[in-house]
Formats: sequence, structure tokens, C-alpha cells
Amino acid sequence: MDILSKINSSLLYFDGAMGTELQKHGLKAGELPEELSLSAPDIIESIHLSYLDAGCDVIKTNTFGLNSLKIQGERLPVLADAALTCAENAIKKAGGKKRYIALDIGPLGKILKPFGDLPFEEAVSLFAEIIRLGEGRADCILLETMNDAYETKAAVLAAKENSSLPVFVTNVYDEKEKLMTGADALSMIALLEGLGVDALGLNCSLGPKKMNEVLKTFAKYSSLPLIISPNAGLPRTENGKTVYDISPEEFAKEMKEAVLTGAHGLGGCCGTNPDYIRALIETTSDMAPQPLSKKDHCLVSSYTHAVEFSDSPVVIGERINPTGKKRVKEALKEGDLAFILREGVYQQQAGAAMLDVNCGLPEIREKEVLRNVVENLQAVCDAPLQIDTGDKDALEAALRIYNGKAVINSVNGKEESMHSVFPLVKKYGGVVVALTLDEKGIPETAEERVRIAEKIIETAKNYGIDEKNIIVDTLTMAISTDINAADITLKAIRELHKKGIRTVLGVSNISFGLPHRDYVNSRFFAKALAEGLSAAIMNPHSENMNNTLRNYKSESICDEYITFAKDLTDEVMAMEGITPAPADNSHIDLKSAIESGLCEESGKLAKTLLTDAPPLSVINEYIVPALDKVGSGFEEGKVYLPSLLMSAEAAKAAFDAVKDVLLTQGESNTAKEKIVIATVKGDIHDIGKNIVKILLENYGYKVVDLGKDVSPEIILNTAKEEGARLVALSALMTTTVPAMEETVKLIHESLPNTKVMVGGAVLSREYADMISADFYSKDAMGAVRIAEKLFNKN
Amino acid sequence: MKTILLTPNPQLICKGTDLCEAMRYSGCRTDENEMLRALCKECISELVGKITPKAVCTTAEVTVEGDKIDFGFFSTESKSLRIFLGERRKVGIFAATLGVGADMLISRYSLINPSRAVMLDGSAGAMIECLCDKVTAEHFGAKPQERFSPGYGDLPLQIQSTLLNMLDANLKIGLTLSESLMLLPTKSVTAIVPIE
Repeated sequence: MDILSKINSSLLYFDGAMGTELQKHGLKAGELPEELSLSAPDIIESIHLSYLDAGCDVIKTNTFGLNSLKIQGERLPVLADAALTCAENAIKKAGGKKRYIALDIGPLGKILKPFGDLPFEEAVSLFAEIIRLGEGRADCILLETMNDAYETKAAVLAAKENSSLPVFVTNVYDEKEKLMTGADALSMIALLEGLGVDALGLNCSLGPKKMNEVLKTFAKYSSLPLIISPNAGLPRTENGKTVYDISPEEFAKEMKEAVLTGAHGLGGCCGTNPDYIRALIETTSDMAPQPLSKKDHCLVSSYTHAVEFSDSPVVIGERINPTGKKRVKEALKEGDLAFILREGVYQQQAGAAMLDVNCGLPEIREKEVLRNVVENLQAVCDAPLQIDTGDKDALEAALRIYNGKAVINSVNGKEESMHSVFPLVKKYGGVVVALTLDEKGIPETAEERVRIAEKIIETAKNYGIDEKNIIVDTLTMAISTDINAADITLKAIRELHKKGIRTVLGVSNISFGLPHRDYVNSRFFAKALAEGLSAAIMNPHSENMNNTLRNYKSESICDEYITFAKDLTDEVMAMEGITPAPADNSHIDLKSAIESGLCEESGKLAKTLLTDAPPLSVINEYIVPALDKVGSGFEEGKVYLPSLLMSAEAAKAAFDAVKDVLLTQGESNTAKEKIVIATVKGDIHDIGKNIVKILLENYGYKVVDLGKDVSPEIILNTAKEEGARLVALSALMTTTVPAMEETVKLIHESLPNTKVMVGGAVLSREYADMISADFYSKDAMGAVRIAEKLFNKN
Repeated sequence: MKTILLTPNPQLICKGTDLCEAMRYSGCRTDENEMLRALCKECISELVGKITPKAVCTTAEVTVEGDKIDFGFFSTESKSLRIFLGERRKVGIFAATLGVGADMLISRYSLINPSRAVMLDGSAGAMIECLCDKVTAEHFGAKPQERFSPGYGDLPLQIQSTLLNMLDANLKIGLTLSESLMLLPTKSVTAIVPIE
């Protein structure tokens, strides 16, 4: 019986700790355990054998930390071969029942970008190297002790792309039932089932009792076989030695509970030894595993949590989409990422459970832009994302780097569409929005739309995609062009709801071409909710729409008015938290609002001023003088950095109002000069750089922000393409100054008219001179002064 | 080498964090401004929900010959560490981190709300100090801030990876090293502490 059939149908026993056993054999701190497969194979073999004699089915190869970050060159395949040989020899010697080898793979010991310095694709390649070495010799790949969702995804992709073996994944959860980087169990279930792993679960960190608690979530939501490998309780120090606090018997007793909860794969982690495994097997071998059952939860996830499409409708924020939104269009064209990120954060604050991301503009390279927006958005927002594109390559690029299980918007009933989208859904996971249209267009009857929906679901099954992962958009058409439009859409929702199929609508299309759109939208929304709508793609800032949803939800939740009133109070309280009470700021003017750092006030006051003052005079008479005053205060040491930045943010809000006016007047380019800014290669600190950026923007410069850890070549090429006369570079550590020096040199060689300004904690004027930078600034205001001087002089 | 793993409660770190220090790290010369004080308090309490403070420590006997300091499992040349140690030959070695949650929170605000990002960054800086002081006081009986880190004086930054390996800091507390020898998560410290 192969290992997959075995774990699907019966209990499968894994071995216990390797590290703990190696320490008994005298492994020293800092010594690589993987070297022992070659230098002392008898030790590794005897550990394997001791577990096999204890009765386990699966032994893990001594390859936990084997990757080319730690072991370079030819040594890697040699050690992998040695480890596999040890496992094979042990199995030969043990005899008896059928045994299996798990190619054991642990984390890389690096943090992935953007919080670390390892690029996602490099992680995939590193895992791929070792995974390829197990082909033909191991029975499965075990990705274990993974403490980061993103790294886990990289490892699973590597396994899927480089091996035909079954893939088992176990993650490390802490006391709060989360991974080190914040993912909860439900989000990992969504991610891993989406990626098509064959079994999943938990190992390390927790003892069996606590682990069994977390396992309950798995049993409730996952359709796959579950694996659990706890520690032998919790570690504590006794006479300078680490000991674990539960005995083999107690361990086995708790594991019995785990079998009842639904575990199929059972093993041990830190602190366990063959005695624990023997006790485990003796106690549970006469038990039958809980049969697997298919779960019908429709889940998407971010890197922290999952959201379920269920009876409680969810809001998908629609704002990150250039269609009909000039500012978003402008931001995408100009590469103003901060604007897009703010849109994301504000929508989430307003109650959006997910965010739609659409970057489709003919004048930009959608693949690069979409990938970049998704990558950055997921660093600031933890709402799951809905990737909204018709470009297959862009879709794949975004799905690949997305840290979770996304919504895919969209597929439709056309053969071509299904043929290009479904393979990607199968590979990367996702919940896909199915539009009810096909080669013949959009049907004019509800029945036809339902039929297309069913056809899409059937076709998806042929690609191995479960119907729970499809939500149907019955298409909102403008009521102004067809008086029956709303009824057809609603009827289709009703029919699908009866069949247990989930639905979604882009609500606001209904009012296209009509006045008072928000009211029309809410009315239609209310009706759709009543028909059983699962999700709405909408503007989460709309009060009318939010009230409609709130009313619907309280109606369906509350049987009693008291409960209703109580909930209402909570919601009102929550809202008061979001919207600060109006202070008596009515008397202040824009200048003092900026000086005091009042963001919202500044935006409003600027808007009021702009109704009769020309945009330029608002900038020159209010914004710039206020900034100058705060800036001088900062230079004199009277205003502190956080206050300076609060003023800068307030000024930015005022600028945004000005920009809106300019855009409606058809002017888009008010910027004086372009400045390219970046944190240099090898450095991932970017607060300082971001401070300089916002201040430069306040003074009207167009700042091209390349982010952090940027190579000299990219900085040079951008400066060249943008025709920037000033490049600003930041570095925090002495170890990254050489990269700064290299960048300065490269720019000076290729762009004689471009000046370079440097700054950052480690730099001084002397240091700046040493690396031949043109300017050095000790703080952000200094950077503004340098830019002003440079550009005014020329 | 026996190591001890510590996972103090985030609330304890929050309580022990000096507000004035957090503000100073954020670029406030004084803590008089009420609005900034309030912002700083808010940042510290926001961080409490996101940090996962952890430390791993051990002890070693050193021998000193000229500027060569031998820890038993590795040795390094450093005049400044020799001076810092004086006659003391027993040392504690530790690595501590607030976890990647702090970095994530700071990064969340970095582009959209830099004033808050700066205050969070400063506050997290004061919190990691607090964590270090706690660890060194409880385990090595050291005075606050009495410690020496790679990169101080002439103690080479290159010994970071040896320290991390020896403490098994990657698997135990999730601490990693970038190619440019930066500790990641960024709110992390490794140091050597003399034991009286």
C-alpha cells in the first residue's frame, strides 16, 4: 500500500525526535546534524532503527536543515544521498511490515521579503534543490516545523513543481495558536488545501494536550488527513539540562485523544524518543481512525487569517480599480504606491473583509504593476485579496507571490476563459468568481445564467476544482438600459442560493446612468441580500450600503430586540472609535491645521478653500508657509520628528485635495522635478527613507520610490529612465555602506548630470565624502533644503 | 552547551518600558508634549498585541591572552571587549527578539502614516532594551544596559552567525541573519554580559 492510501485509510505512525537523540550521542552545539549521515552513518542508522523497532511506519531522513544556504556546492547531494542511504539501510535491517521514508525538510533559517532579505522565488529554488534529490527514493515529502505561511507556500510550490511524491505539511503553532509570522490554523488550512497538499497538521513547540486543542480546528475545517507530532510536553531546565515534562505514558494517553479528534498521522517532536513512540503505538494501535469527510467551507486567506463565504455576507472593497476613478488611474500610472496602499488600509478600516485589486490600464505593464501592488499591499493590509484581471500572465504572477489563498476575479463560461483560468486555480488555490456569460454573451434570462453557472462548476470539477471554491456572479446590469435587469440578476441569485451555490455581485453597476446612485445601490443591495447573496463588491465607505448590510445582518442574527439593541450599541461604539469626535476645530485655518498636524481637518479646509481659491495659491499661501514654519522649528530643535511628520501628513491631505481639483481640470503634472529614492542593497530599514520621501513630496517633488534592498543597477536604470537629476540613498548599517558606495560610483560614471544625496544612521559628512556622495543630510529637513538649493540654483 | 529559552509575557515588557526612552528613540528630545505622549502610549499598547518577546541564553568561561578572547567554542580578537570585561572571566551570552510582529506593524504604517511608524519604531526600540535588561538582570545579575554586542568598538559583526548558531537562536526564537549581517527581525539584540 502506498503511503497516501495508508494515511487516508488508517493510522500512520511517524518516528520521534532526531535532534534529541543526536544530542545523546554527543552532537555539539553549532555542529550540523546533517553531516553525521556521512561522518557517522552508524549513529543515524541506529536512531532510525530504534524507532522502527518501536513500531513506527515512517522514518524522517536526516535532512531537516539541508539546504544550500547552509551547505554549499557538491556537498548537498552527497549529504542527501547519505541520509537517504541511512534510512534505506535501517529499513532493510528492521524487516517486518511495510515502512516508508519521508524526505524531511525544515525551514531555511531566513525570513522572506519584505520583512527579511530572502526573495520568495529564491526560497522556492532552495527548496526545489533538496526536493529533487528525494525523487525515486523517498515515499513522501514532509515539510515540517514551518513557522511562516509564506515560506511554507514556497516549499509546497517547490514540491509540486519538482516532484511527484505526496506532500505532507506540519506547521509550528504557539500558545496563541498562531505561526511565528501571525497565521492562524484556519488560514493555513485554506492555503495548504488550496495548494493541493496531501496531508497537513502540526508539530513542535506545543505538548500533545495543547496541540490537540488546535487540532480541533483542523478537524472541523479540513477534508485532508491530519498529522500531529507534539513535543514531549514543555521544556524546562533542571540542573542545567533541558527536560520535557511528560512521560511516554501521558504522551500516549493524550495522543489517544488526538486520534478521537481526527488525527491519522501520529509522531513525536522535541524530547520524544523510541519509548514515546512505542507507548503511542501500544495505546492506539487497536483504534480506528476517524473517517475522512469532505468539508464544505469556502475559505480565502491572508497571511494572518481566513475569511469564509458563508450565510453572513461579506464586503469586498472595490476601490483599488482604475475604472472610473481618476486618482487611482493617476496613481497607477505614476507608480504612486502609497496612494494605493492607503486606499487598501482605509477600506479595511471601513469594514471591507477583502479587497479587490485591479490594475488594468492599457498604458501600463499590468503583470509587473499587479504583482507589485499585491506584494506591497499584503505587507500593510491583512485582508485577503481578490485578484481582478483578465490577463492570464498577470493573474499567475499575482497568485504566485500572494501570501495566502486569494479570490480570483474572474472566470466565465467561455471555453477559452475556463481553459486559461482553471489550471491556475488548481495550482495556486483560490476561490474563483464565475461570471454567468459565455460565447453568446450575457443571457437575458435567469435560467440561462444559472445554466452557465452550472456548466462552469461542472467544467471546474474536470480540472480538479471543488465546487465549494466557486462563487457565482450573476452580473449586475444597468437598470437604466434594461428595466428588467435587476429582476433577472436577483432571480438568478435566488435559484443558485436554493442549490447551495454561493454568489457575489458588483452592486453599484445597477445605478449606472442614474442620479442618487448610492440610494439606488443600497435598495438593490437589500434585495440581493434577501435573496441570499454571499458577498458584495462595493464601496465600503458608503454609509447607505453599510447601513443596509447592518440592518440585514441584525435582522438575521437577532431574535430579540434587546439583543438587537445591544449589538447596535457595540457597533455604534466601534464606529465612534473609527471616527474621532469632532473637536472644536471649526475656527482654525489651513495653516494652523497643518502646523498642528491635523490630517482630516487639513483635507477638509483645503477643499473648502479650493471652492474659490486657485489651486496654486492654496499651495503657495497656505501649505508651503505652514510647512516652512514647522520645518524651521524642527531645525531649531523646537519641533520633534513625530510632530514634523504629523504636519507633513496633514500637508499631504491638503495636497491630495489640490490634486483632485487639478485632475478634474485636466492637469496632472504639477511636479517640479523628479527625485529617485531608495534604501540600498542589503538594507531593509526604510522608515528614514519614507520620512524623506513624504517631506520631498510636500515640497512638490515627484518622488520615485524604489523601496528597500535595491540593487545599484535598478537605481541607475530608474534614474536614467526618469531623467532624475537627484538620487537619494539611505543606509542604516556599516555593512551596507559598500553597496551605497557602489551605487554612487555607478551613477556618477553613467549620469554625469545626476547628483547623489545620502543619509542614514551610520553616515556622517566624512563618511559621505569618503564614498564620493555629492550631498549628505543628517535629517529629512536637510534633504529638502538640499533639493531646494540644487533645483533653484539650476 | 546548555541554553535556556525565555518567553516573557508581552504585558510585562510593556510595563517595564520607559515612556521617556521610547519618545527619545522616536526623536523627541523631551516628553513634555501631551499629544506625542499620548501617541507614544498608544503605540506601546498597539505593540503589546503584536510582539512575541523571546530570548535564549547561556554562560561561558573565557580566557584572555592579549586581545584574543577565547569563549571555548570560538575565539575573537577585540581590545574593546577585553577592556569592558576587565578581570571578569565568566560571561553570559544571549540573543533576544521582539519577533517579526513588531516589524510588520511598523511597516504597515511606514508608507501611509510615517509619524506613527516613527513612534512605533522608537517604542519597539525601548521595548527590546527592556527585554534585554530583564534577561540580563534575571539570569546574569547584570545592571541595566551592561552588555556588549557585536559591532560595538572593535568586536567584529562577523561573530553574529557563530553566536546565533551556538545559541540555536534560529529554531529557538526565530532569529536570523541577513547577508549584510543584520539581525532579522530588526528588533533583536545579541550580547555578551559579564557575570560578577
